[in-house]
Amino acid sequence: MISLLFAVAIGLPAARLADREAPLLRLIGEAMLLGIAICAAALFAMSCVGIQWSLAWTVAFLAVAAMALAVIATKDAGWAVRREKLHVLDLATLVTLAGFALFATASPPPENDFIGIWGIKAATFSVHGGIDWAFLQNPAYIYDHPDYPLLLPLSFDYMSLWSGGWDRVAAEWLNPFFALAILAIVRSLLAEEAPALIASLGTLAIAPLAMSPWIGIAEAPLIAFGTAGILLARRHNMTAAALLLGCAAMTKNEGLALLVAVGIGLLAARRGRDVWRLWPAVAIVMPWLIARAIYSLPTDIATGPILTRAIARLSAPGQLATLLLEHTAAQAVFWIGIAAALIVTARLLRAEAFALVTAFVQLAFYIGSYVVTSRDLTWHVHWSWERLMTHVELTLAFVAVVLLYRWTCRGSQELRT
Amino acid sequence: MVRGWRPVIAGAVFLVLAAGAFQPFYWRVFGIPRAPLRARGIELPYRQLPGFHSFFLGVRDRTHDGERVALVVPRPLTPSYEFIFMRAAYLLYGRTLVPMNEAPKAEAIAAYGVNVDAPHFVKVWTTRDGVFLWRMR
Repeated sequence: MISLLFAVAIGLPAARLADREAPLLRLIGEAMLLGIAICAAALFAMSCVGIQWSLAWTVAFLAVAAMALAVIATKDAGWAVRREKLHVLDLATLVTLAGFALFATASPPPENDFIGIWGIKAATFSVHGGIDWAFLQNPAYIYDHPDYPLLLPLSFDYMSLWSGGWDRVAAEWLNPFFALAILAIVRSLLAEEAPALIASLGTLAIAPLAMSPWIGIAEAPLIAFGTAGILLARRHNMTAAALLLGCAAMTKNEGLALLVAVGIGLLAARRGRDVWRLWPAVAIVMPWLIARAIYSLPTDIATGPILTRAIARLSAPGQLATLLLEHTAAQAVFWIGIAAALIVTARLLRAEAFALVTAFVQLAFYIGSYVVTSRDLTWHVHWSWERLMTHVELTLAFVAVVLLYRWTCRGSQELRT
Repeated sequence: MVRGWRPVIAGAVFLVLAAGAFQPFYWRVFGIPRAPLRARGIELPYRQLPGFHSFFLGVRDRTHDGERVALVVPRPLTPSYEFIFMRAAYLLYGRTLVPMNEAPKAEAIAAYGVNVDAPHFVKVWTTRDGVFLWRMR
């Protein structure tokens, strides 16, 4: 818990710099996300220059960096921040979050991907005292996806430093941490669109979408960084959005795809100039891509005869379509709600073109990865589609709530005139 | 005051959206005893492999960071070798787990679900779930 509080303190000046007008909740949410990312980045940097990880070195390095950022952040403006108007219903969201925290911390993460990908990397690095490149290159461990970015395992390692060694409790607590961070941002942004009652009701309704039930794996941070990045880019906060999208790209390869999807979304919304303002995201992910190339860490999705596989699957698209529908069934009610919201507010969709195009392009990328995957299609869809959809569900639900509210208000205005 | 049919339709769609997003377990969890939930979660990844978890925790106690341990499992096990290797590697983090064909390069052998003898190795720990062998010095 102390490690997370320290991370938030480190993230505060960075959040303040990136989003100078952020009111309190949004600032806290951004500080949580940027703070944990900065802590992970510090471990990455220490590994790259050959410094053995230690709590003393890490805390000293981070404290100096935070103080420098704080000086810059307070140079032009003080620390006075606006506060969002809260509502008693927000307590219900907090109770849901408390329930989620109870669930997430009930036991060590049992997920296959935690054991085989995220947890094993973090545990090995923790023992090694830095990123163990030889471990990532070891072909016996190829199942651990050595090409996946390292923000999540390094976040576990940062927390473990405070415990004096590998601590799987870190993995239990990060899911509620990420959920709280993105919900603070969502609540704050909804407060700009609607009165406190609607903002708190909307947050309560869509809050579970921020609480990924897959504990200890990259879904929770990807939902948090990705959704925050899209929603801040939606309101033209491009610096903060780019930083958070860079963190999403450092969480999972799907985050890299999201960066491209955001670029396409911006072009679709006729915001071509903002595409260039995503450069901080590219700068954040570039050191990892360089390290990945230097150490020749393999990726499995684009191996073998991609074109042959793609032609075979596209010539019989029925199988893929059936599989996708089968594995969407569990969330059918939610998707019916999204479809209904988009249909009834069809005339207002242009205003939300950016977020909608980004979300659907991201889903299209995932479907594209199934078309070329080297794995068995049935197995791949079965074990991933339900999880992948959650990456954009919070964004879509946020937009749906905003559109429904605007549509209702427009109706009342028309009645008045 | 908002009037007309739009609030009714918007409210209905909002309810569908909320119902689709709702996770009842995050409310039910307050009434569930924590200890059994924790015990179940700890054993969940190994439920297809009886005795596996405790055996590899024992192997961990008998090895040190940096040592190479070969994993041997019987052929008829239902889960794939990768499935088993992944779990053993996680429990033995810090050690280097190698496939069974690389046993000659290892300092130790952890054989789960099978009793093995290997030249140049001596059994140092035998349980109902497996045997642990050390290279003779």
